Amino acid sequence: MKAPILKTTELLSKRLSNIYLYSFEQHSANSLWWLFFLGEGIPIEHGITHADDLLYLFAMPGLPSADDNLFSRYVCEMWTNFAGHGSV
Amino acid sequence: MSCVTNKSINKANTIVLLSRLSGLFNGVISQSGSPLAEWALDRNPWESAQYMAGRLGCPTDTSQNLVNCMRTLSWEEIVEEQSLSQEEAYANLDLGLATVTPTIEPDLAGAFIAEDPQTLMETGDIPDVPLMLGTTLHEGSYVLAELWLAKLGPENLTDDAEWLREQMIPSLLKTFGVTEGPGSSAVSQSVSLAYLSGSLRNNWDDLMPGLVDVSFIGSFLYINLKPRSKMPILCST
Repeated sequence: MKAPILKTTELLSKRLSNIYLYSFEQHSANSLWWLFFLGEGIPIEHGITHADDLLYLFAMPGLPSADDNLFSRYVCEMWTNFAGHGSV
Repeated sequence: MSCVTNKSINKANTIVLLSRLSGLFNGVISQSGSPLAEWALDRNPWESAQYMAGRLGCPTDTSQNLVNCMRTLSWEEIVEEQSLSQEEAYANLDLGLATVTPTIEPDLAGAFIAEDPQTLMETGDIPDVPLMLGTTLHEGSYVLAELWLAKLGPENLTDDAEWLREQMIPSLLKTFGVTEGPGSSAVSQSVSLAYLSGSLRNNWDDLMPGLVDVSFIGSFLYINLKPRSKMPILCST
């Protein structure tokens, strides 16, 4: 999942004047893992799995902590800044 | 402001959309996907169409007969069968995405993507709008979970020390489309050295964190080794 995105960034950075690459690394007790796999007893430490970034951008299941809510405000600010002005 | 949001396999191609919808977007945020991941494209769409039509009881002799029959089905029937097919695919060490990913079409009138995405990125007509793209830290852990649900769990393979030692890494790589040649283990050995060197190779709890790491680099091997044909990769020493 990651290497194709690095390659995309490398290729497009030669052609686009404004490109951002991020890695989403915010730890939380909430995760979409539980939406996908709750009760399955999967013996895997899921970490920050696919789509966990959406927890901070949209209304999602879970009980957000104070840290989660604060981080959500940062993310929404960055994403809306990017949408409005092309920079975070 | 427009927003295109969907499942990653198609989101992966949002960047390609840019070249087709020039002037409609003033920027792009692409979360967790790139069209350069080999699984993000279906390179054998006719075979995939025949496969899914066959599962749904439709004729597969000509594309017209196939399409006419598929159009009589409800979307629920098609989605349900696709979902079943994907569960089976994981048990056979395959991501099962071929039938739902975009394809590179012949360059005919009405074709949407008629060029390899890498070529489009390198030389295509892409508007110079701001782009933000990235991943979550452990993207691939859910792929490992799907594999566990479909195969490792039901077959008790996480308790099978010999299978874990000999087959775990080749099986995970095969799920991402990397198949080693008979008697060859160069790629799986290299991946094991890079990601599992501090782990007990026959113990699931010890292996698992490294396997999560391997899961998110999985498609790296694919895009760099896959020939531009329908042949599976055969890695040899």
